[in-house]
Amino acid sequence: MTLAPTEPSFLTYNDRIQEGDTVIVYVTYGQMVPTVVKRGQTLMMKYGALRHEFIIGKKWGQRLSATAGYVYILRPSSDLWTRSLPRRTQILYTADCAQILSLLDAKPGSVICESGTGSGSLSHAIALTVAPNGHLYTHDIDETRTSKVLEEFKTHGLSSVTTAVVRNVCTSGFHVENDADGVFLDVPAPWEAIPFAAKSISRKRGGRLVSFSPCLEQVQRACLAMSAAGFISIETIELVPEQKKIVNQHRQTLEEFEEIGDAYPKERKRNAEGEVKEDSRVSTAIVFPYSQPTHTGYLTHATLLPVLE
Amino acid sequence: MEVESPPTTTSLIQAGEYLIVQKIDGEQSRIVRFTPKQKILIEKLKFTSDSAFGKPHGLFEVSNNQCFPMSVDRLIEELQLQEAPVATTLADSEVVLSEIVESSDLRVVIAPSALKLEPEQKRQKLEMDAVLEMKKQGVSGQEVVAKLVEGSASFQTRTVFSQSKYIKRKAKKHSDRYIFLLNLATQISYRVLILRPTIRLLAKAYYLKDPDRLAMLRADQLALILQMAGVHHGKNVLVFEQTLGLITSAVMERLGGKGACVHFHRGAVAQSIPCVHSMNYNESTLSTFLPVRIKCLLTGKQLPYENNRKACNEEEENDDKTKEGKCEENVEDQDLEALARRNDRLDRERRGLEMTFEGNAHALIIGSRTVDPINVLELVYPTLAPSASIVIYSPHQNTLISCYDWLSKRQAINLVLTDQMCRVMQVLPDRTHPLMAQHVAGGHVLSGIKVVDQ
Repeated sequence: MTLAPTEPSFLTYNDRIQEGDTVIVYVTYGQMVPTVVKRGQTLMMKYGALRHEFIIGKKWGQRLSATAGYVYILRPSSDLWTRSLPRRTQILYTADCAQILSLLDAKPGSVICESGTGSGSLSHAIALTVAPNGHLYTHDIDETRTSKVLEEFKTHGLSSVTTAVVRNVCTSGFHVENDADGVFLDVPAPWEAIPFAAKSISRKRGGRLVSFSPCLEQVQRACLAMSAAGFISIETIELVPEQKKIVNQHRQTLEEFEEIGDAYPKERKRNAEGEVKEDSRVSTAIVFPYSQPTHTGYLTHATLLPVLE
Repeated sequence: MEVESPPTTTSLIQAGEYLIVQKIDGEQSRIVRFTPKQKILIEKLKFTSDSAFGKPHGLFEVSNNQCFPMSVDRLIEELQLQEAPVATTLADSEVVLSEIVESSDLRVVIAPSALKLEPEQKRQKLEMDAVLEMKKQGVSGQEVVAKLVEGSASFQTRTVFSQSKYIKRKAKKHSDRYIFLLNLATQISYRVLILRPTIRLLAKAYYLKDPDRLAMLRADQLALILQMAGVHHGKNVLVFEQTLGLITSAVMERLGGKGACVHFHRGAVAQSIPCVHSMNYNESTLSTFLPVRIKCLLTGKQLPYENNRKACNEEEENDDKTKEGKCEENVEDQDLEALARRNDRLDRERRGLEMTFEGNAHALIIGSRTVDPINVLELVYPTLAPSASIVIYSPHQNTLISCYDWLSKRQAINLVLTDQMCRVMQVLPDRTHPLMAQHVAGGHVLSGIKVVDQ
């Protein structure tokens, strides 16, 4: 499957930005604005106004001046999209998305079923991984969420590798049967969906199941359901990432501390000639921010072996 | 291309295939290349490779040194029987306890910790053989426990609480239920999984077996590296790693035959990359593997290969002339093959070097163990395309702090340093908790994006 060079896509890699491309405008750390570039439109953000016309034809990764500062225009990627997408629900962050893809054994050509769709964070990650000849079937009970994600898939050039439907997998099963290589569940009662998951997995190839649940009670019931449905190698893990910040620390001598206390001057000390006196600053990593997520959900994963003929 | 093209993966096990072998109730995960007439060994379980050929990947039962495909339904039944709530023989133990309490004289009780630390066998007069004999004769569990209490030298000196614990323990051990479970466990110990390798299974196997040579790279951090680098179909990725080819292999899998994985290696030929070989990749996937000699990276251009291979006919010239004819034929064939391989390697290397120095790479991944990542950055970063992702993994945090300092002075944004904890839970009814002990070693990941200020 080939993509036309002008089709806006998270997957094609041209040198320069074209109209219709989604650009991640990097304003500052922690502030990124995904922007679909269109002539005549203007982006307003912290550093002023940025006309879209000004972005078209520029190289990816370039610095651009806006009216009150500058920004960087970046290629969209799974991680950047997750961090900047417009949120409709609680989303799965990159660490969890990464682990889920690994547990699903996802790769180009894989057929993956997902429920719920939510804000499409994981959906994008899966779609990018299974393209161009795999497929993502994503299911949600909420019609607004489904139509929003369909719009986004279209804008991002991912329509051909995705199918988003309004469907309750816990009562009506999945959009495909006997064809999936992997199923991902992020639903309140996964034990209801698990028998359907077994049905949607290809009997000939077998497949993987991953279930995400915040509560241990849910995990316990899910594991029992997996065993009852014929899944083996069932394992539950928890993943807790920790972010650090690199700071320059001045290591004081005892004398300094005696003299000036621990509020060392922000300005560098100068000697009699006005030259900067080197103080011993060392780069170290500290845990930052002080408060971070310590739990998102437990990931339970299992294998359904191919059925013996 | 030195990586041998293995048999194409069908749904049946074939000779020459790399496979993952696991016991159902086991700890280890072995990666084994199944060659004909091989004896496969997994945690004391033995079977022949021949008995697996032609069978579908999946669950097997081992008996008589051979493996036989087994239905998962049977295994599920067995596993569920194991986990069924245990009917404790409380009734038995209570009877024995009450009888004993009645009959014993109330001596001064001594806490068990005051007992001399002798092994329990020495304290019990009744020997194991005698117990087994009793069972054969159909003596009830209750009576066996009573006899054991009689024969125990320390019983009378225990506290009442300790005595009751002792009886409960013995009752449980000699109950019919226990023997049933013992038999069941033995049965399950002959169940084996023979699976197609996946990056997830490979990562786990190597991490448990050889974390050192993997630079402590845990499967979850490998997954994070791939995600932060944005590896997918059609991307061009530069990889320098010292993780037994695990990162390279994972990148290749996600490229799915399109794009490039430029793999920098020492020496003349890509080496120490068992994780690439073990995946049984087909030609299409292997087509993205572009090995580049570090020598070339250091000089900035492609170097010719040194011809240090002693050609057979060179030796023969001075030796037996009668053998010459035959030898030449073989030599020519060998030479042609070797030449073809070398040309292929040179072509891939050329493309890899182009990608590196002409700004066509979309991502750079460094998985360092001993090499300073800054050395690699100095050579490769300047020509990396803007908006490219940089992901550096190291088991040592201070290595990454230096990289952070280096990158932050060279137009890299969104620099983030993270690490993560990943732990396995035991999930059983009323007994759910994280495992008491597990492999925890890991590393740290620094990621960022290159930009230009022009």
